[in-house]
Amino acid sequence: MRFQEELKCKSREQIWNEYCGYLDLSLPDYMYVQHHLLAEQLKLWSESRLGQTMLHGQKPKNSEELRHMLPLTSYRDYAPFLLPKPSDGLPGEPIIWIQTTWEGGLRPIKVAPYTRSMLDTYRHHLVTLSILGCSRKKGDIRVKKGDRILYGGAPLPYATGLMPSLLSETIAYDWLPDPNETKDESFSQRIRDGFSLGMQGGIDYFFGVGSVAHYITENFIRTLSGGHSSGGSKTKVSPRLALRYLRAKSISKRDKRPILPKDLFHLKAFFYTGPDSRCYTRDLSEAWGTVPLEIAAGTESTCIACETWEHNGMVFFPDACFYEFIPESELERCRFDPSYTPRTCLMDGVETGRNYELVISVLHGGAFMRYRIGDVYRCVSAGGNSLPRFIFNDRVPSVIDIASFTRITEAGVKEVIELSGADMGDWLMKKEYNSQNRPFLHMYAEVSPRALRKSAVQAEILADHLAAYFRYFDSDYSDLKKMLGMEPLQITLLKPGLIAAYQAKTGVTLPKINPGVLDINEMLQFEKAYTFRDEEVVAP
Amino acid sequence: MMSVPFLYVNLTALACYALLSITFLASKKTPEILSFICLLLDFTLWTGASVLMRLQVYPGVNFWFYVSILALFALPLFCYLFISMFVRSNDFFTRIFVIATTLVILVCEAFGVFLQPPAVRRLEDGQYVFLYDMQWPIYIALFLLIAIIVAIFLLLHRTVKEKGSRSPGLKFLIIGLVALAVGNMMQIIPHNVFPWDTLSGIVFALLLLWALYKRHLFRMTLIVSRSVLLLALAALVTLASLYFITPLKTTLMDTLRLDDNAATTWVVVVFSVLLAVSYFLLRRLLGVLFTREEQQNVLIKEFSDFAAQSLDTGAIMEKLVQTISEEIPTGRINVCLPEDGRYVNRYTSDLLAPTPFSISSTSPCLTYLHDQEPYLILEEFKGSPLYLSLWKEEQDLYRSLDLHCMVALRDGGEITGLLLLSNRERALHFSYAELTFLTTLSSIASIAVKHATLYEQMYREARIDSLTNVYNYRYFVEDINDEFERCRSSSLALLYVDLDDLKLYNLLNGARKGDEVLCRVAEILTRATGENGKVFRYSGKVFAVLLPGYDMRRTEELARGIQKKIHALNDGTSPQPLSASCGICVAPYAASNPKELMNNADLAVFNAKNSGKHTISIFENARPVFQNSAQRAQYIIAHTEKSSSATRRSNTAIINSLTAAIDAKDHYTFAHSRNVARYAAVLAVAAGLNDEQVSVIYEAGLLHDIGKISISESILSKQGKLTEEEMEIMRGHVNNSIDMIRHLSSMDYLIPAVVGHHERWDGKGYPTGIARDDIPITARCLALADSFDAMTSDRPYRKGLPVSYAAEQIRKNEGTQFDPTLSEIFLSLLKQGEISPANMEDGPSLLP
Repeated sequence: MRFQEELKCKSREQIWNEYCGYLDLSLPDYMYVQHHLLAEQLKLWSESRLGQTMLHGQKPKNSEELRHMLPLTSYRDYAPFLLPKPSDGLPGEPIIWIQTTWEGGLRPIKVAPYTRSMLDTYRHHLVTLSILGCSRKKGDIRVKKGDRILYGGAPLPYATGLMPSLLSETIAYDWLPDPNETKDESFSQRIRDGFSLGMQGGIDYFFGVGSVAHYITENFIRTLSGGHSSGGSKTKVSPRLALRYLRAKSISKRDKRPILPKDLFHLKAFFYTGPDSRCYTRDLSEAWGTVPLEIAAGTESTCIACETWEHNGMVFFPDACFYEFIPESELERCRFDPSYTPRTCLMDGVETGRNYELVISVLHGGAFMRYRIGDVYRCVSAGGNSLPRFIFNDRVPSVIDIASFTRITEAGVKEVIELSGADMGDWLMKKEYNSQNRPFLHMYAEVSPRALRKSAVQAEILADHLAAYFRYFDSDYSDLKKMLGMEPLQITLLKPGLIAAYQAKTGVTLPKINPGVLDINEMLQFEKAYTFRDEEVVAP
Repeated sequence: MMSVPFLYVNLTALACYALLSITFLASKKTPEILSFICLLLDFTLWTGASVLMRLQVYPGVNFWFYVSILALFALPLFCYLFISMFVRSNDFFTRIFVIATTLVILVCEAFGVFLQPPAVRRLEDGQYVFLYDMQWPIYIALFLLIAIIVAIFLLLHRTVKEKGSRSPGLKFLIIGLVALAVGNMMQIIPHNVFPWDTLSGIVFALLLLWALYKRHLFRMTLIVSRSVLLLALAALVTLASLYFITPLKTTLMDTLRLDDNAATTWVVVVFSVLLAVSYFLLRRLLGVLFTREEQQNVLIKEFSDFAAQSLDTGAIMEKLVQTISEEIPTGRINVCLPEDGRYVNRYTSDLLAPTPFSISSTSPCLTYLHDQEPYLILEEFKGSPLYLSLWKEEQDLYRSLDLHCMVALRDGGEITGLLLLSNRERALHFSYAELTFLTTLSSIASIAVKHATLYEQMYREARIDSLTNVYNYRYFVEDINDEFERCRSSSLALLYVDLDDLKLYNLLNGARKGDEVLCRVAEILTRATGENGKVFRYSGKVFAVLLPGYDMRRTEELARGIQKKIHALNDGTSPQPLSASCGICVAPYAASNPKELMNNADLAVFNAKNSGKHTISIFENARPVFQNSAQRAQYIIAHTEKSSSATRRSNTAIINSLTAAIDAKDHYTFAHSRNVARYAAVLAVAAGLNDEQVSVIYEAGLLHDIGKISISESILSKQGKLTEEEMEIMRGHVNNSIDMIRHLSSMDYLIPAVVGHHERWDGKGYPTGIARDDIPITARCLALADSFDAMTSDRPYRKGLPVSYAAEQIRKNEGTQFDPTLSEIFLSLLKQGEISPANMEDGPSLLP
């Protein structure tokens, strides 16, 4: 039965239990669901060619055996098998292949197969999101057929493109516009269309990656305030919205502020996802009059978690993936000793206040097992019989993800420096936040003494130079500046040899990507007393 | 008695409340039912006391006024309690507020704060009127009561918001409340004398009743019986006659200007139509409520009787499915029974159903059925978080089955089976009666199926060989007689498949591997035979195949195919290749009774073995019919001596050489050995041993004292009593015999018989002191024959003892020295003259 028919035939209690009943599961019941579905997945996976290859013919029967037989995996382990998009040899028949960026220019894309069962589960979770997004308390269902969704996600073959297609299977929503039907249009054209359609009939839901949602919101505000036109002058406006517009205009005059989307639209639900989304929470809530609901979704993992009306952390869906968590201490140890195999705990072993890297085994015939997706979550509540809740913390320290647009690794930065031909010494790169809580890349770079003597070296010049090559290297990087509304790369020049000298003095080996903030501060302090001598120069 | 207008309404209400209260007192007390009973009792008190007050019954108006008014003031509280139970609300504070408010009102009213008892005034026409003196405090009570009513409506509003108006029964609850409110409001219409409040109370109670029924909280027939319905119809007709005939006639005459006759005719027509409609509706109602329940009861009884008498799982399942199909319109019914951790579909009502399927016992559905309800409606189960853990294959299975409902056959905490109902034809929901019917049937079926399964298991275990999973010897003996009778007009072939040198195979590869071979051979035989016959494990390494309707040629073809497949089991890893010798006998051509069929097939396989193994031998010519065991023993011995097998011929030559050697040294021992061999062979035949065993015993008898070759002649032929030392040397002949035989590898099969021939039944023998069944039967036969011949033969130091004395000694020592069963057989052979020193002298011999 489709969801829109269920809305007619079933009581709200029944619908709530079907889609949101997992929130009331006790931890043991939650674990029962996890283990039971993992048993199915193990059967499918260990019988497939992919599983047999990775397990060397072994057949684990439960999570304990799986953790014993299979080490943690990354996309590198699957790439030779998955990148050719085979139709057989997988645990389930792939219905669709979803893609995403991998490591910028080094390895452009990675692909993930989705089985019908995964898609069904994904669709179920999307309905759950719709219900939870609108609810203000338990059992509160406000979803209606024909609700209008302003959609800031990418079209297929990206994971966000699945959302309209899957939801259309079960309920008729109005998409403003459907990204899959307008995939030939540019992103900004889609935003203009969305605005235009929103003005005609209102907006009930708004979904977008945090930074994109912010960009769209800024765009709206500018349009509404008569700034840059997004085609607003030609937009048809419903009488109801025209009245609202007039009222909004008078309020904005009275309060001496621009017209905000909340003055026109009364959102039922607002979802956002992706790293750094929380940076935009305040602005977005202020603009739309609704606190966005955080959801966790990914290409490899499908949709795995969402917040509830209480906004106190996300609860992981018990039937999307089997979850393992690498505690931060193990993660640190692993970072400095790549040969170390970090230990994992399960959902019933997490503790409040700790950070964990998420490891997933995709259920329902998914390809990825014990897979490190590279996301770190903070457990905000656990213990007792209730389900643990998490918030997205960041990507793993070895990767810098800015606003979900680009993933920068040490190898990527090295490649860019080499391509640019910049005569640089040692460097460090860290993700930092400016005074407006916006993320940016901060590079601490030594310039080689040769370059100092030969060319004009200034932080801005070098930043521009490298940014050009970052854009060349990774096409997604070019969208960053537009989305963030600022230059994503900032460079602080260091005295040549400073990093090596600091490391020699303290005995600490600084990771190239995301070194600790205390180390950076100490190193900058150390720089004041440090005098550069030619013989101390460490060649790049 | 005072006259009260529309007293019948009050009395009807009273009767209705009282009846419902009493009936519900006998039903299962859930919180909803309990609160409903409280509400009904309150209604009863209110209406009853009100009537009694109007009638001014003892102890007086004041008393009944207080009872009535207190019950009326308590009514909102009971309404609230019932509704909060019904919608399962946990709003503690509102509940406390409602209870506290009601208590305050009741206490105050008990002291007459809000309303005083009415003053009774008699009018001129003799009627009584009750005059109430309403003061301002009544508004306080009204305000508080309205607050409670508002709390009730808020509770309902919240419930509708949270659960939707489609929550079962909720609609009726709301309509009932509205009806009650409207009824009470109509009461304040000026000059109204009709008790609308009481009437609305009846409507309210009936709607609550229906709401409870919709929630599956009771059986409707608990409340309504045939007689009640008929009485209700009678009352309806009477009331209609009383109150509608005359007004209708007047109306027709006034409005349509009909004359008296025409108006009467129309009234009759209208009234007849009304009666007919009422009768039709009543019949429908009776049909729905009673006929169906009666039919269900009949079906349950029929099924129960059948299940109690049947021990056939298949028949029980078939009857179960048939019974359900008769009552519940459903497309397909499957029954699954547990097997190796899964519930396997063992019966389906649809012969064209999809391929066989099974459901894992770890399925969340099973967890639900085990921990919660005995039935599971799939659509409702989707609302359970357990549904999330359902495997895809299980979801697909349920989808392909179009599964609607699953019922557990539960025996205590154990689920002994599953009933799957698919393709529900009508409506979406099962009624309470249907679910009760299903659970009742499944309870009966669970016990019946459990008993039948146990019986079948025992039946199976008694007939099936636990290692190879084919029928065992016990069943073979039973079945061959039946089959022989069945095939009297056609033919019955018996094929023995004897695995060659399996003992050696076991020694070389281990017993486990040997067991595996037996299992695989059993599988080969089962597959080759299919539905055309039955396979039995006849003995350790011999299988029997009974083939009704087979002739020699077809049986030989089958045997050849089996031999090929057995040979194909050789993977080259074992130094001892696997092969099988087959013996065939077909009745009626080569046997005239089952015993003969078995014996002849036995001889055929014996032939095959002696013909160099891996061969097929068909018993074609009827051999002489043996009169007794001695004749058969002679036949076997002669057959052994004339064997065409090279191995057998070689063994015969060795035995001849050894016996010749002993004859040269000690003629007595030679003659003794020959006698022992013959006595033991006859005994073996009579004891039912097969021909090969008889042959082995005969050969072992010839060589059992071969070790005496190494004993000095002075001891062997000593006339006096042997010294202890000499006795010891004599006892050593057993080990000497073994030492000699074990060097002859082709004759090592004789060792168990030879080594044990001086063992005793009570364990006091030598050389190892083993006892009872641990002594090989071949050795036990030799022991008896050896002792008998030792007693009856002439010895250097005495003449042979009489047979009667020897028999006496055997009887004396049975159970101590000799196997008691074999002793009895031996004694009976002596009695029948089949064993006697004289007739053994002239029998055929292996010796030249």
